Amino acid sequence: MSPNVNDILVLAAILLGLGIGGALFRTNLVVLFAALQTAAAGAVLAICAIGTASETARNTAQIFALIVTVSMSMSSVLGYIIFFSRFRAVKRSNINDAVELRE
Amino acid sequence: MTLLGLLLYLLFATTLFCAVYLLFSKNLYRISFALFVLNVSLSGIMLYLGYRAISLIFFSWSAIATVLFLSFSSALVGDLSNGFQKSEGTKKFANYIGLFVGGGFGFGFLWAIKRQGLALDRSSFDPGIPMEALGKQLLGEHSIVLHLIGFLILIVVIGASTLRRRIDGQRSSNES
Repeated sequence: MSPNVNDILVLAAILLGLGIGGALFRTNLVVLFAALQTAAAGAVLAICAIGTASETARNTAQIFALIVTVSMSMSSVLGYIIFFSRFRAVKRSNINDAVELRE
Repeated sequence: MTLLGLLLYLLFATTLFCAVYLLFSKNLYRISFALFVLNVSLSGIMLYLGYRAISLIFFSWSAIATVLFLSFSSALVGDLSNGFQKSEGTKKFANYIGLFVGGGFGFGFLWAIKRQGLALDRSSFDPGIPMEALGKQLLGEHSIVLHLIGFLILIVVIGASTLRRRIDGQRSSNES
């Protein structure tokens, strides 16, 4: 007995849920980025599982997984840069303090 | 249950545990390592599904993300090395260990190249991955996604510059 595609899809859904929950409820920006990465990782896993289930969509799934992974990493690096420049200016990492981003 | 199935269930368990730990932990260093283990476990699951290239990219990204996380965590909560390197002797010992491990890796890499060469011919790549078809699809049928990403990056750059100008304007008005 080994895990099938349905199990992997369930795992991907749990990861997506946990990631979104972390992004909504944690206030530290570093943890928020980690939670967003978890959500994106769940999405990539779901794409891979769907590609495995359907033989015709395998190449498309590979391309989409690649694009999601690369855009996730790019957005994370951009976010870290913005966060770090802000942290150097105000010495705070709590997102609730970032009032200038809401204006 | 086969050994591979057991290993896969173990990867499932580590993924879930790390995701939950990441959501509830307060220690940034532990969160960094939890994210690394989570991403590596996911790479293993993708490898099981047959996505070798994606798995490798995901693993590389997880290593880079861990370094980024540790850097920002050390900027937030203090130097990580303070907890481990107490004296000058300990620091020197750590440097020698790093030099030894790095030298070992370098020697092993050079020895492997000398033994079997770089072998970058066509047959050294996995024939199971249809690279040509993937490349054609990426730059042909799905090129709209690349355009969309470029457009989004343009919006982000314009937004960042606008925000920067507004903050500078507010600062100069506050100073005056």
